[in-house]
Amino acid sequence: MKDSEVILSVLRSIERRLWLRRALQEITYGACVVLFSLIAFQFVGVALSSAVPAVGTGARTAVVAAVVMLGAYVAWRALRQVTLAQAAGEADARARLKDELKSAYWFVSTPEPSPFAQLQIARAAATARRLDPGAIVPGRPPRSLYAVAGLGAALLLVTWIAPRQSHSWDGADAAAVAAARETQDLRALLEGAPRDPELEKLDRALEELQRADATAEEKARAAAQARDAIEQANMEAAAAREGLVRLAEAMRANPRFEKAAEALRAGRNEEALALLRQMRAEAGNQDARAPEKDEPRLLSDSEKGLDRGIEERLAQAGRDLNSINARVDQDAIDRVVNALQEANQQLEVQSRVTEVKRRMQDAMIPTSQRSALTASQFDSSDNAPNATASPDTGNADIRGGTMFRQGAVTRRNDDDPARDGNMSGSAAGDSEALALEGAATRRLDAQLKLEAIQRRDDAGNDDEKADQGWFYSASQEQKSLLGFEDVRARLDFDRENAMSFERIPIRQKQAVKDYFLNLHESEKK
Amino acid sequence: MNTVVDRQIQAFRDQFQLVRDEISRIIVGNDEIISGVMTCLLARGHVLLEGIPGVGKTKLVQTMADVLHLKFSRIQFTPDLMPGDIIGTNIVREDESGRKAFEFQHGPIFANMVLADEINRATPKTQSALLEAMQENSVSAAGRTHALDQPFFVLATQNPIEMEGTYPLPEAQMDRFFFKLNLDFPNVEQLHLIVDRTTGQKEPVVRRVLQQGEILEMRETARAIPVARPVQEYAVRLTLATHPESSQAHEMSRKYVRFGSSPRGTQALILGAKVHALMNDRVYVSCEDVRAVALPALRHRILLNFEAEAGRIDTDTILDRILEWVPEPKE
Repeated sequence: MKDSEVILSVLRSIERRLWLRRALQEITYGACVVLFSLIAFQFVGVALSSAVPAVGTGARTAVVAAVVMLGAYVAWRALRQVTLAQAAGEADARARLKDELKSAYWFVSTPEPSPFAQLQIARAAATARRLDPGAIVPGRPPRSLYAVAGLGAALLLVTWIAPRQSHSWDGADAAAVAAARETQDLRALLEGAPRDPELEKLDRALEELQRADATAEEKARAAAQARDAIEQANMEAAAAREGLVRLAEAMRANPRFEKAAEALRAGRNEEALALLRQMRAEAGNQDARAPEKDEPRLLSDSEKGLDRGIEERLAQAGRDLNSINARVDQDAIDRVVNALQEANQQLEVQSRVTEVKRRMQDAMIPTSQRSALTASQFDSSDNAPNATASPDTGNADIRGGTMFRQGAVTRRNDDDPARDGNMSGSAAGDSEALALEGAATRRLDAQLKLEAIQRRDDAGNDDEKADQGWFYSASQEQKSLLGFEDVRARLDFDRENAMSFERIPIRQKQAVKDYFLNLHESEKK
Repeated sequence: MNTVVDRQIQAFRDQFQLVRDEISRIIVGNDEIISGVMTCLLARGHVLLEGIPGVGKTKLVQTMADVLHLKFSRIQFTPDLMPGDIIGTNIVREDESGRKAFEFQHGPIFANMVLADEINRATPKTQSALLEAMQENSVSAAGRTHALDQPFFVLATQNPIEMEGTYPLPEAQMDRFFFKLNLDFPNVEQLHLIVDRTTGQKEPVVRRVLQQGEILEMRETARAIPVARPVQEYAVRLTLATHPESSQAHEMSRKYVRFGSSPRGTQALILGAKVHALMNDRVYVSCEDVRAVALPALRHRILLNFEAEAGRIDTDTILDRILEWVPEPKE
């Protein structure tokens, strides 16, 4: 084999090994970057989806695009050819040949090498024969492969340890879908319900909540509107119930309506309605037999009482029933029937609204559990529109204030009076509210008043004691002088007080301090 | 053919080693300086030796003249030295028949080895008289050009500390020198050796080991060494790195250099590297050879700016940084 061929064959062998090594290195470097990015995304994704729940799909797409681009770049780098000149340079550098192969390869590629160049080619060929390409470019895997293994293990560990976190953006998406489905079900509950402005308002709010492109702010506003509508419906239903009670009492006064009144009192509104209709029909038959004295007249809204509340209308209808006039009696029964129907509608509305509310609350709990929001974030994003003042500061803007109040003032079902003051109830705030102070703590304002009274008493007693002293008694002049000194001292005290920005008078400081120290102390303690 | 070339290279190495050994009998230490001077001689260049008084500049040149079988002349440069004192002059000569004619009287420059001692003490006018001789290997006088005998080798010395009343060499003159070699003060051991050799009854004597023809052959051999393009590329990159306006300039060049090395610098790098390669029994030039001669080949071709002077930055510092910075070509 000619010297130049020896050199070239060795260089080709080195070239292949170099290419393979470089490709492996590039691929493992790329894999390192991808794995590191995925590990980082496990954490960054959680933070992102917490801040902006809709970011999950976008972030995932961005990651996939970045990985594809990186893969293409790595492939381009890995597939780049290694030239023989590069192989010669690498061999020279690794075997410390002082540019021997590099120069020889250059001389080989020249058309007519000089005698000195030929000598160099011959010497380089001898060197190349001694070279072991495997020693120059070892076949061992690149170190970055270990890094890939380590990062892969770390990724598995992160995914295994925190599966909920690692798929939090999936969870956010699923939560959004579930929320949309739930609001859809809620709207289905309202179908076929009697027409009511509050129901329409609630339906619009639910529709807004169901809208996929609604912002968090819009959804919060819709949730607030839904709560308003539910509260309004409940209030009207409560008024209707009150009116029904008053109607029943009014009807009991008339023996004719006693059965209907009993049915109403027992809550059997439909039965009462049927009885009243029957009585109305009977009254109509009597009217047909009797000569008509007056033409039936249409009642105006004000006469019907439509401009009043349902409670008032029911009460008025009950009073009208006691009329002995058959015509009036018939009209009164009509009004009672109408009012009863309206009350039933209100109650029907309330039952649907209550169901909606219950489902909304049920849906809120798993949603909040799914949510990666912290308590303070949950408070500011979910409860902000209906914020309640913090018991400590009275400041509704305080983060977590609403949650704290809910926790502090609500009562459990198995309530123990001895534990007043440190009870905690449902975080949803459904439990009955308690006074903040426990039984062991007197109300602060009462303590302060008491302190002021005692102070006045003490001052009065001092005067009396002074007057009663036989050993020494201040003269009128001395008293006036002392009074003057007292007024001057009080002025000085007020000035100092104003300078120190102290809101609590010194005399009451101890009472205020004791109050807060004993705020949650139980009576047993 | 390889055998012939092999023999040629072997002869080069042997003769080179012989000269170096012989000079080392007189000159203590300074092996690099001796190699540098020999490299200049074999690369057809001239050398500028710089060092404080008494470190052996003149002694080195004299010893070299003794070792090489060459015609040697010494010119002590003084402020009143005139160009004619160096290159020669026409004089009127009367022959036996009484006919008078101008005849060119050769100056001391007509020698194979010329020692221009303390070259910076002569006026620029006189210094520039050397320009043509050093570059063209010829001298023009009275309208006639006189070729200088080969090998023609100028060794100039200058003292860097006694600068009063001196005329620093102009850039064009400096560029004519192939290498600038700095002679350092000898260390303790070398001083002992110098004292031992020079204060005894017998001083060491050198013998002439190299003839004029052998030197010319060695010059031819050195020129025949091939250089691969990647190595040449490295030399070019080094040169460009000294140019502040070049895109390949080093950061220090941009900051401290007013003018970078001329193309003669690149030539000196390659030629010096060739001799260096031969000295190391190689028939090709490597980047290592280029690096080995970079400092003496480039240090006097770089013109520093005021900032460098103020910061006491010298060209060797800049070149060291450049040598660290410029990577060897990978292919």
